[in-house]
Amino acid sequence: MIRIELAKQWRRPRTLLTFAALALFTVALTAALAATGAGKLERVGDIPLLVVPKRSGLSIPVIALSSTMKFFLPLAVAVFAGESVAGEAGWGSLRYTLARGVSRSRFLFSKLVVALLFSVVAVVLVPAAALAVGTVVFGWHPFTAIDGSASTAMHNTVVTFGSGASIARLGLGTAYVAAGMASIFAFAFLLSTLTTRPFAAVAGGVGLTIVSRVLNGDYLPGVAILSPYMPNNDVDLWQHFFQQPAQTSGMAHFLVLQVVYAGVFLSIAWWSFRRKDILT
Amino acid sequence: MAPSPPPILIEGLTKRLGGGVLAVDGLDLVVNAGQILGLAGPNGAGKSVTLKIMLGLVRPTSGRVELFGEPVRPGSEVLGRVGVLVDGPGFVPHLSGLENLRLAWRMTRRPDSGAELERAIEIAGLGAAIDRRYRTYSHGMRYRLGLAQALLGAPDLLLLDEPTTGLDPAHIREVRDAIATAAVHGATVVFCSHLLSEVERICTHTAVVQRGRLVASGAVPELVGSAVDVQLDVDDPDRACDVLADLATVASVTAGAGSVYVEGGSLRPADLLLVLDEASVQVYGFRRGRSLEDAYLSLVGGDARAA
Repeated sequence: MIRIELAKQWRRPRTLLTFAALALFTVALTAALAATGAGKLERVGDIPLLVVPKRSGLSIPVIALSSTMKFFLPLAVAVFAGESVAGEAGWGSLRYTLARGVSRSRFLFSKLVVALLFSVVAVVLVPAAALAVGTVVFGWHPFTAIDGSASTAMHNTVVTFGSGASIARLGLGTAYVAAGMASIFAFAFLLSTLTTRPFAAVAGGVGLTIVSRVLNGDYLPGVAILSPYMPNNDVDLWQHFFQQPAQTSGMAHFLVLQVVYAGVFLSIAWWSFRRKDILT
Repeated sequence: MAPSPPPILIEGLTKRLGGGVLAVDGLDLVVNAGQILGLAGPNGAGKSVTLKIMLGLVRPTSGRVELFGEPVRPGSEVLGRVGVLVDGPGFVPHLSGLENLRLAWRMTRRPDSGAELERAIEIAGLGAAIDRRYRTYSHGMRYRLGLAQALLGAPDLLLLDEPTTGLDPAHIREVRDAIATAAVHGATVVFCSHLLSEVERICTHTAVVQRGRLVASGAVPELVGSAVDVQLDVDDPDRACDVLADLATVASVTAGAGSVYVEGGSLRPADLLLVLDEASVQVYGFRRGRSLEDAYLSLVGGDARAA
């Protein structure tokens, strides 16, 4: 069933378009960075981490992942998860698949696995493409950044990582971002089982990202009490991997939060879909 | 040898949809092997919901549904023996017709050799277009692919809901032939259609459903021959009614739009025509018996027009 689902989805124009758009973004980003003045510092995240993009191709994936994790990647993930079941309902092929004696759980599982696979590919694609393009344009040199949180007005704390350490930390960061998409993925997937309009499910996933972003104690002090429970706010903590030594506080909390959100949303999806009347 | 269970057994089936609408209301229906059953009824009578319950797509509120003696649940294995076309065709738009047929078959988890793909392709009659993306297909091509998909693997039971919608006459005939061929090969067929002439032409049995209930069922000739004996098309039905009512052989006479329907034990057409002529009523047409459409309309009455 998973192979059937893969056959349906991988050649889908929307799938290829999403991957192409993400890859193209890294090219555009690299071009923009190459066009800016020599030695200019790029501020990354809230730490802040200041990197000089032109010094090494290894800095490009860090910047690319930072600039996609809050909107483009949640959007891509919401597309894959939100389109999965609702897209099939929209084509009218959902009733035929289920009328073939395919069990609801098996069907849902195949949808989940394939949408999950594409989502992970999307998250990995961004730093991978950025690394490739960045290395071609800026060369393969040790990654250097100024750790703003450890710096004072008089003294900049410069951190440098060799290529091996950079790749390892980048890999960990990518895995963290991928895991951080779990709540959005699960929410869009749940909506996908409830509606026959794929657009509504995708919009719902993106909507959750936006709600999470809005109810952020950093901008709205009144909702600070909610911030630790927002599904997407702490997706940027991976940047602390590039401090010396790496800071991991808050990561475990965020990952547990993802597991809880994903567990709840997917359980509801399973529970409702197994009982659902397929009338369309 | 114990008789094998009927392809379809429905007992006391009830389905209450969201909003409390009673879509199916205590429906009982048995379809025996080899029957071609025409399921007729006004829009919203519950035909389509009943089909979806038979396929495990919709959960009944109460009642029993068995296919080949096996209770139907979502994902029941027995569904692999059923070919379906319901609510129009539904395929993956960016794949070709052929790829869609292959995927549809793989879902049954039956061996590839049993698909009889060549025959299905022939039924679809799409020629080279079978390798084109589904999204480029016209309405008629989509329906033919839908029928081909339903006939994959020579199913033991075919459930077809309005399979000829929007097809031209030549293709309607092909659909009819395909159904007849499937039946000859032993398939049991349930065929929902608004085109009662179609039902009359190809079905051995008919069930008429109204407001979720079975109002009539039986072999087509039984259903058709039950009431009206003669239909006369006339210029003045009311006057024709009056004069015919006086004839001793006429048991009852009712006026329709441009016609009168006459019932009686020993009607002689010549007598009827004679009295009408004497009363200066023009007769344009004369028909013995009635069509399934007449029988259907007298069964479902005003509902058919309201729908």
